[in-house]
Amino acid sequence: MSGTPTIEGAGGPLVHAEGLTKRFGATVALDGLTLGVAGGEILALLGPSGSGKSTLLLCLAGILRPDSGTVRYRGQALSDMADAVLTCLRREEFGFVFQFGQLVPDLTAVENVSLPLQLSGQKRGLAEERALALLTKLEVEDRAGKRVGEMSGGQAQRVAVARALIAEPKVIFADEPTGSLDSLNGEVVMGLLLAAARERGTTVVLVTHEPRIAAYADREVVVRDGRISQHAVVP
Amino acid sequence: MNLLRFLGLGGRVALSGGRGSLARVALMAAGIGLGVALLLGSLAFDHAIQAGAVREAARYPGAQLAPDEPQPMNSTLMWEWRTTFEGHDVWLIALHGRGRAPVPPGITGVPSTGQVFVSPGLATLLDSPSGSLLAPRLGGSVAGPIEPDGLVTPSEIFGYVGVRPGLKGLSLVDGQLYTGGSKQSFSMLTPGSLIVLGLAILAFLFPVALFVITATRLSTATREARLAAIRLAGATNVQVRGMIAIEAAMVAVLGAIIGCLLFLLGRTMSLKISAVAAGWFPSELWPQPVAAAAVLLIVPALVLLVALVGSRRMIVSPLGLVRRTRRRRRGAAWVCVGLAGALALGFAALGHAWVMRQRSPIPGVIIVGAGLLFLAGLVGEAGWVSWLVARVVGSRTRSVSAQLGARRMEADPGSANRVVAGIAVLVTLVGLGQAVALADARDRSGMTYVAPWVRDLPATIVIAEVFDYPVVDPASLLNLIAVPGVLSVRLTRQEPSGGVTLKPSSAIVATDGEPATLERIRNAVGWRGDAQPVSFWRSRASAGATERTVAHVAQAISLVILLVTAASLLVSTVDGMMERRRPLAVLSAIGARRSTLRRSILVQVAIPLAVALGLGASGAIFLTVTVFHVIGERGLLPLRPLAELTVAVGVVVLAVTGLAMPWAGWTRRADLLHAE
Ligand SMILES: Nc1ncnc2c1ncn2[C@@H]1O[C@H](COP(=O)(O)OP(=O)(O)OP(=O)(O)O)[C@@H](O)[C@H]1O
Ligand SMILES: [Mg+2]
Repeated sequence: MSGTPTIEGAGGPLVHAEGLTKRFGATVALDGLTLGVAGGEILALLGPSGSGKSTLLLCLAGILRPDSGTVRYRGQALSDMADAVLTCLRREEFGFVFQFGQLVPDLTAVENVSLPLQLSGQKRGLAEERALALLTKLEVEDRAGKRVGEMSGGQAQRVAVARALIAEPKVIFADEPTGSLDSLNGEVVMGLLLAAARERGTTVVLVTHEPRIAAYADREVVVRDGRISQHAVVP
Repeated sequence: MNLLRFLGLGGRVALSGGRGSLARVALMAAGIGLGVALLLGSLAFDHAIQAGAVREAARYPGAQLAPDEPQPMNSTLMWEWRTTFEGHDVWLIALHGRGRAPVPPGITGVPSTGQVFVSPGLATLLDSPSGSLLAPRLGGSVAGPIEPDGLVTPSEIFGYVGVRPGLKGLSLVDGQLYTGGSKQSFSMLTPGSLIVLGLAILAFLFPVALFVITATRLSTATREARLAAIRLAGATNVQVRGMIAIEAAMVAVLGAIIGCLLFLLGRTMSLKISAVAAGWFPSELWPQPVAAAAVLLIVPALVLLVALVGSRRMIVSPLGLVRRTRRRRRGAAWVCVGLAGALALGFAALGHAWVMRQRSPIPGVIIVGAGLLFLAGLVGEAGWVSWLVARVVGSRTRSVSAQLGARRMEADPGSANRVVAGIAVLVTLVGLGQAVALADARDRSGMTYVAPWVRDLPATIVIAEVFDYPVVDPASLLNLIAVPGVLSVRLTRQEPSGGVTLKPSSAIVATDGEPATLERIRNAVGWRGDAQPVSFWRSRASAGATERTVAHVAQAISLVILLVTAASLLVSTVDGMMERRRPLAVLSAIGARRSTLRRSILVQVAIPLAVALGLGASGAIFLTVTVFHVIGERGLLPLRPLAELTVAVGVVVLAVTGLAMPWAGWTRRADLLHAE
């Protein structure tokens, strides 16, 4: 669709945040935070509860507007974009996985997964075909015609991962995608997400509490009190 | 657990859920209050109507004198005259008492000759600048007022005139004996208007009940989670159900209180409207205590019953509600019921000659029975049909918004189903009621047939008639030429209503067209006749007034139904969005346009209303055609009212969608994405 910024940032990070500050009343959620995410990188955001990870993720994705500081995607400041352009950007370039409650309960799994494609104007039949293929890859094709209420937590999360992947986004933002799953199921879902991301060269920004999950990432970043406290590159 | 603590817990269940459950309690109580207020209001009007009818009956004569019989001792003879003055209906009763004569209500004694007792309305008219034109008709001097217990309405224009037989052409023969009035009051309502009235009350109460049920189902998920938490804390299922009952009882009592307050407010406000103040005695505009008590007991009891029955289906387990699976919607059976009714009506229509030949109750039983069967089928299948439509749209549509809206309806069709059933039945009944009322008006306009020659007369003509012409000499009408403003008088044997008399009983009076001349002619015609302008006869012939009133009443009813139903739809739509705010916020996050969400709401609102309208309109047309065919009357298809309803439903769809928009915008807020 038109309106998608297509100018490649010259060699710089794909997503770049600089001096981000975000307050909620008296609470300072982000405090002048600066972070770059390279194209194709899988980045894990760690940190104690309430340190500002989710806020950062929402700012990076252009869902939340920071009080000050800028987020650039391919060199373009998100704050310069109109709401319609941002919406379009999220639809075509970004994918999202949250901890829970993200599937529309009235729609079946296939319909939920095909939604991003349909929102971008693809034919329903085609979109659902691709969705079914992806569900098969994530091993939940038997739940394709079911609604969230008829799925286990792990199955629902796999459907959510499929939905994040289907439009082949450049960046996937995942906020504790395995937070509501037991560790075994969590690892399976995480493995599926990251395998698909690596296969396609998708950039992933992943918020997690669990070091075991973070271990899948190329790089771990710890957020503390709204700032980056330490960089660590996993070999 | 001791009772007080238990009660407190029930109250907390009702109110502790934050804004959502407060809104639920408030909406439920408001709906119950509205229903209670409507019931109390209609009971109050019913009481006032009946009281007025009883007072009117108290004036009625009881017996006729035999020819040549003299007036007995201790009796009252009365003559009635209904005349018109400047467009007002004036009702005069002439009285002559002998001995200890029975006294009609409102006065202390039978007036002696020349004495006139007047209602406040008549007194005002007499005191008005043109009152001197009316005074001659009374033929006496005002001796005092008629007390309220002798009046049908406070503003009634009514008078008792004391006379002597022989005066003003009043003979013993056409006088009637007053024997203390009739005990049997006559309803002023025709069958047609009774049907309309019954439908009106039903039409008002049905959507209100719908609204209350919608309100009880609000924020179900959140509520069930809370109840599950209470069970987890150790309450038994029976205790939880008890809490639900206490909560419902509290809401019901609150609703009853609100209803009383609303009724008082509505009563005070409506008495400020001059038409209401003129038509009703405030002291009678109260429901009868027994009826009011019944309403205040039955409505809360019904609410409690509904809550308990509703909770029976809800199994609250400590682990939260058992996972919901898609249930198959029932409906096919109801289609059969409706079809059976339709077939019965169809056969009755085909063999209508045979049906109508049966003994008295049988045709009625067949028509009403088949009609009710058809309606029951309609109620039962309406929700199922709209669910089916939503399912087909949801699985076939290519538009994301239609998919979202239709699937939403399909997944949780409860409140939409109730709306569909309600609107479908009401459209059917309003359509049928309109058809009946239109036919009724048509039949009555046939009764007030006006001879063609009246229509050709010039506008300044007045037709003067004398009744009982053996007593009154019709030739006296020729004296009208002496009335100032009268240009010519011509006697005729033709009556304006089409009859022909042996001797002339009507006069065609050409006047200067002044209103005062008409009143002078009426004065001159006197008690045994009346005079009306040509325009009066012409307007009687068209009888458009009744039809217009019926149409207005039906329009008002449809409007109220639609408004209350729209409120239910709005509440359940917004509630659905609130319960799904997280997935909706995620939808926005993954790039759904604002307009996509808006259109999905439009679809979600439009499907049930469109299905309801379609079912209701076809039901109305089918019932009208078959019922009228069975009773062998020419039916009128209520096409115009149905077309108007269609437009109104369209407006409602847009209005509900528009009003739900702010919440659609609200679900885009990013902070909903934070874990709760
Ligand atoms: N919408 C909001 N309104 C008020 N305060 C908020 C809001 N969103 C976040 N906060 C506050 O901002 C701070 C950062 O929140 P954030 O959700 O980013 O933390 P987090 O690192 O994701 O924590 P967790 O690991 O528990 O999810 C917290 O103190 C939180 O209370
Ligand atoms: Mg978080």
